[in-house]
Amino acid sequence: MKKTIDIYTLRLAKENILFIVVFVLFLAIIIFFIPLQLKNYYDYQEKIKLLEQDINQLIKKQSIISSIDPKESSYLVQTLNSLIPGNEDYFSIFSTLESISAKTGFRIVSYSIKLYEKSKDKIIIKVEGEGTPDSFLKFLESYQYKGGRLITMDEITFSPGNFKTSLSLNFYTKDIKDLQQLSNLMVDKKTREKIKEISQEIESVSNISTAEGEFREIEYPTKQNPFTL
Amino acid sequence: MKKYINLLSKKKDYQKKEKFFNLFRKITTLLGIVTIFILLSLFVVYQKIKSQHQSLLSKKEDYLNQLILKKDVEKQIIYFNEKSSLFNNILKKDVNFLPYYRILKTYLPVSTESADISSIKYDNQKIVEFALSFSNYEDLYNSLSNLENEEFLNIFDDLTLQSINLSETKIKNYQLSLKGKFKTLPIMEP
Repeated sequence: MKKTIDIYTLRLAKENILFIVVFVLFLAIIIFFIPLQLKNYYDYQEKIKLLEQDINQLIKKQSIISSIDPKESSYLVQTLNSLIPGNEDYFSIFSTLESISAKTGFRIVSYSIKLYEKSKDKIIIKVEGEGTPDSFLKFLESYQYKGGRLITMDEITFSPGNFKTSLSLNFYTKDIKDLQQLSNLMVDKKTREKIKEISQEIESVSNISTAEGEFREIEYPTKQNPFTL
Repeated sequence: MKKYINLLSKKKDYQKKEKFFNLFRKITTLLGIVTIFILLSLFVVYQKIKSQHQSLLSKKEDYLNQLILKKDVEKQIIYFNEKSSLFNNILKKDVNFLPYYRILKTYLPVSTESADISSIKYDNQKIVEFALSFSNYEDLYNSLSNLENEEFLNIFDDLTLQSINLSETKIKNYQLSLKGKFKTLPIMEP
């Protein structure tokens, strides 16, 4: 049987057509428009959260940068570049060894470089030295950086009886071109103090060496070739 | 056939429908008020959050502009961090012989001045080979019995007496050769 809308219902519907349309409209707003707006709101909140994090990082970065004296940092970078230069320079190796030798009294009598063991960032030098146990101990106190270059040892053969010593010394180079953008710019205070201390030690040693050099110049001729002993 | 219309039942139905539409109108009005209230609130909050976002963006831009002016210092810090960490890592590989040599000399169980280390070989794996020389047999004998001294043995992870040399040529020379591995010391400055 076919259902028909009676005349009264039709009349009532016609009378309330505005309410029906408005009801549908509000319902559509509640179902579609408000969730969309809420999503936008949460998106903005997320963006604000990220922005606040970025700003906090920038503030931190700025405070670190402001806390560092540019002159001091350039001085420390210079020291590190002298300890680990960008390119290998044999002359600086020999001048470093001579400077330590002059300061400690531990005489270096021969050098040998195994070229096949040389890598891009490291050069190994076998050194034969002579000196009293005291001078050797002084050498051990100074070799790591007081000569102006970073030196490490792989092996030591020391004979206090006949004052002969053979050492395997490593010199390093590193050219840092691509600076990684670090999220943490924090400079380790301990490291900074250590490098500062090293800079001062190198400076004081080079001052002594310069003074000694001036004195020696009167007694000995200056070497033209650093490879000769 | 005669037709009859039941007007009473139709009236009841009409009243029912009238009531329904009355309720519908009220609900629609309430829904309208609620929707408008939500829309207004959302508009206010949205405007507020939008302006907050805008102000944070301009704040970030300001900081970035300030940092661009100090770009060189920033580069120097990054460079310093990279090179100093390289420096620290390289130093860790060093033999760092001096503190070990001093400890060895301190705890060496030689009782007289006639005995001393005649040679020592040490590498960055902390492996040490050393020879002790004695000018008389008695000192060698006493030192040999002192080798098991707990304090002395405590500085090694491992220690072996490799040889005893009792050569008597022109100069009396007695030698003990030992090989071992030092225990790792806490980091000590050279």
